[in-house]
Amino acid sequence: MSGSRETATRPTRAEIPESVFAKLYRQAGAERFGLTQQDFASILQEVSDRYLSADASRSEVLELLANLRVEELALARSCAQGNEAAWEIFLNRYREKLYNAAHSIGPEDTAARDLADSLYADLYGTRTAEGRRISKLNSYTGRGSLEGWLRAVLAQEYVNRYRQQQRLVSLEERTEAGVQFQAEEPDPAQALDSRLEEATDQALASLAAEDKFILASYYLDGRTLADIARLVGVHESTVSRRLEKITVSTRKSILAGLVKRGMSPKEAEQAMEVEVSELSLDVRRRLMQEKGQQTVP
Amino acid sequence: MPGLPKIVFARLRAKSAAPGSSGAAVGSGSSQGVEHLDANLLGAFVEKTLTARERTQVLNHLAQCADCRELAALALPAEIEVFQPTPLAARRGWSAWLTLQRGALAAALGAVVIAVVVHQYPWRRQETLSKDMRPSVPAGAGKALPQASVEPPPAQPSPGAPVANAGTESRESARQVAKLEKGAARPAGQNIAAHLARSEAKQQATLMAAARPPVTAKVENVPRARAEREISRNESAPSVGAMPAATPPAKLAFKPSAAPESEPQDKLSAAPQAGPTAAPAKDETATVSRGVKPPQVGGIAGQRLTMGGPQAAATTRAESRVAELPQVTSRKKLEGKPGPTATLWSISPSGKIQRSEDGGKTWEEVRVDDGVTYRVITASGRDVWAGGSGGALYHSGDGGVIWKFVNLNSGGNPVTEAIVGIRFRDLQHLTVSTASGEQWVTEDGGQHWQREP
Repeated sequence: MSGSRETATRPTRAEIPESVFAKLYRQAGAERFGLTQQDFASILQEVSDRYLSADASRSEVLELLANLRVEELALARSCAQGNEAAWEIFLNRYREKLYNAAHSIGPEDTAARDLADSLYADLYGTRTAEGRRISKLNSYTGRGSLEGWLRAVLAQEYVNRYRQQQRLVSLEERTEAGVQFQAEEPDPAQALDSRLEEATDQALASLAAEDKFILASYYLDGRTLADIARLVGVHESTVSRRLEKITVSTRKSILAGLVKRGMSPKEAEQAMEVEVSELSLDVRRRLMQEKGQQTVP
Repeated sequence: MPGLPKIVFARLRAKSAAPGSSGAAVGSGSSQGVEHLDANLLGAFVEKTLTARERTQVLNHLAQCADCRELAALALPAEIEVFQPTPLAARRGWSAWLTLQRGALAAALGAVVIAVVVHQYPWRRQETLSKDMRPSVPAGAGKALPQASVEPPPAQPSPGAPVANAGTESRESARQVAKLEKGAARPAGQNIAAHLARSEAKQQATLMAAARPPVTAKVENVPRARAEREISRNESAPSVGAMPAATPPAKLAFKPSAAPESEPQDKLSAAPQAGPTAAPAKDETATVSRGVKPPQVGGIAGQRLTMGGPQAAATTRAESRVAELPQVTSRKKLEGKPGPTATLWSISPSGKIQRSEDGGKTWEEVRVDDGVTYRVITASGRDVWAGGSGGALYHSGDGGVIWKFVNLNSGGNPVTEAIVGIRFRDLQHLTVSTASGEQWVTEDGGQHWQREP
């Protein structure tokens, strides 16, 4: 079998064997939810259109389809169409999970319940447009589990609600509540060498995507190693080691960039040392300050 | 170690939008020109089901978007734990050697102390002699098989294929014998071990005769909803050496499987081998029972293991007691609950290989190749095969300690599609399926492969 990528344009549904759709249709058990094979094939085509480029090969299309959670996709889309049998199954399976997820996101029981209930309304599709039910379940594509999708949607809803509430809280109320606003300490007056900035940008750009994510999560968001490990899918100790490696490699990269831009090695070290000495005091304080402003209960 | 320069954080912050700074609702798709990740991609990212390319794109976005990072963290399920046990091979470090040395030293010291005690104290020797001089106990005079030593059938059996593991049975039998020996006088002159070996051999032969081809069950720690689907598809016949099923959520009842499928459809479907049509659990229980020769007939539950039955009349009481023991084990297998020390294998939702040594209570991740999203795993005893993305196929012949990459290729062109199915008749004959429907077969345990037309 050739491992080379086919250069043909993405195959349309007509080019993918009908047997593939039939197999997925059977696997999904979509018939019991009132979906015809053609309906389901259209859904699959929509999903592949959404995630694959125009020049995707046949094998890429097949791999995408093979990786879909077709049973959950059929269930979700049937619910979106108002199939009562599908909705009953959905409630049995996911109602409790949704409430549990809401509780894990929000701290208060009533707020969590309210969040989950409001999401249910969106999922069921209480609004209609042109006679068609508008349900959020129509946007589920089966790339991940339905449960994971529900958690992500719940998280979005929660964040939106929280920020809306935050914006409504007036300055006066915050003052009454005893929140004090710490004056931001001014940066020490120093001229920032543009070469340092350029070398830093270059060093950051050369980092792998995962490394940048780890750096941002750890230093900007203040996430714990355990949280980052779960997101990335490695052990906590691995994240710790990665951070050390990233630190070492980034420093080396910045140093090399500075030397390349005309600084002597000693000057480059001094330029970075000055920044580091500020780091231990200022950045930590800044991170704590930022965390206090961004508190998400 | 020197830390990162302050400028790094400043530049990171500058490139990364602060949470809520855009003011627009998250998940709306676009916010001041920034395309946020939709819930599908977020959920798939958290569950590690994206392709490598997609994952890189998502990570690149997450590195710059604080909003989406926040959502990703919130979307993490509370129960998922990332287990990364140190593979056995990696434990062979200096610390392990030190531990081994200490252990050997302690054992040697203990042996010396015991030897000194035995040889220095005459009264111990006298006691030993007096034991040997006790009159022999007639066969069968011991206590009846205590019900407590027989584990009751599980109330909530596992779904999937309740399959046998010969190693589990012998361990379980050994435990039952140990319990018996506590409460019953050991008949002098009778070799329990020999009885046990005979009964185990009988049991294995019986199970081999009654067993179906190994079930290639792609089992995962899946939510209850998916487990329901698994149940409805899985065969229930035990199969020697086949992969045990994962333990499901407690409330699910075991259901018999439907007609077997010729090939697994996705990584979450159990794929019984093409073979005899699966029978309902009860019938299969009966089938196995019928296949068990006396004195192993029945063997359904401890309550039915009557000492005064016709089987016991044909053998001594002790021998029938021992012979009955494997039946209880097989009963547990029929009901789908593996023995407590059966090694279970599964694929996690994030595509990682997992192993359980305690019957599915806890799982540990087994790292083989971090760059692969695994889709299927099949085991027969200590032979384990795992397949996944990018044509990755790995084999372990020692229960998961050492893994070897198996190169599937045709004319020098390696398979690059995901491996989604692995079936085997026996340890030499295997068939591997790819996402595009290709089938590769081997007849020599994986040394050579041929693509089926």
